[in-house]
Amino acid sequence: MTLDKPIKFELVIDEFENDAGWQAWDKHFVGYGQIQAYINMTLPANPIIKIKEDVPAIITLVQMCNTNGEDASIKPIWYKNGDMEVVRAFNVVTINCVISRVKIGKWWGIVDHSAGPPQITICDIQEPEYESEDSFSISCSV
Amino acid sequence: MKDTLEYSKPRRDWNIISRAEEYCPDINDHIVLQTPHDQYRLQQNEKVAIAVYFKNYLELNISPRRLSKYIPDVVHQWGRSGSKGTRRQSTVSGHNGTSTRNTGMCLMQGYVNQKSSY
Repeated sequence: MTLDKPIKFELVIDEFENDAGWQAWDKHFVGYGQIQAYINMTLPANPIIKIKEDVPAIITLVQMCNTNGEDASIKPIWYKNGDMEVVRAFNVVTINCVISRVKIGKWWGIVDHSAGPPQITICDIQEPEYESEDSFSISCSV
Repeated sequence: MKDTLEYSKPRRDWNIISRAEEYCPDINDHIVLQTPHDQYRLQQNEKVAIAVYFKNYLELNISPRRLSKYIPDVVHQWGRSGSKGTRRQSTVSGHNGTSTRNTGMCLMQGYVNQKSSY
């Protein structure tokens, strides 16, 4: 069973993951790749490797295109035919959408079908300090 | 004018899952795995890639090559996946065998902060 539909996936990873003591710093990553398989498996509990209970997971094996983490929804992204990296394992929720490809000569162009540039992220949403009319009416009724 | 109107197909009731699908709400409550379904024997490089994922996800102090020895050799493999709540039964990939390829677009929405083997 082989699956060759290319997909786009997004990751938010800790840039200082390997540096103990550093504050976590989320790094956004966009990649494209071909799904090899969806795997539904359970990592069994084992006290030797300090896993106390079974860990179920839905994992997708992806062979990544060599695009250097660039986003095709912002600028044209090309990769050379056959220029693929090794198979990597991702959580299935990492997948964003299906993409298309256009072949010109020895190069593949990526057609992004996502809703928008994934670089646009909303963070630090703060609640307004003022009291809304709804909450005011509730306090009056009480 | 009523005669010219074309009514779209009703949305799928995602509470009804066919026998060709598997839903694992204890793992993920919006992903539905779909056929083709088969047993799959993992290759060594794939086991190491999965071991890297679990090492980062569970924050284990063990080398991926050693952790790969504890990963089962045979796992359940699925050909496609759908996302609950989407307008149509979307798929992420197509089967490259004898069956037809499904090119449905699929947007997996949700906050992604889980580490991977990258």
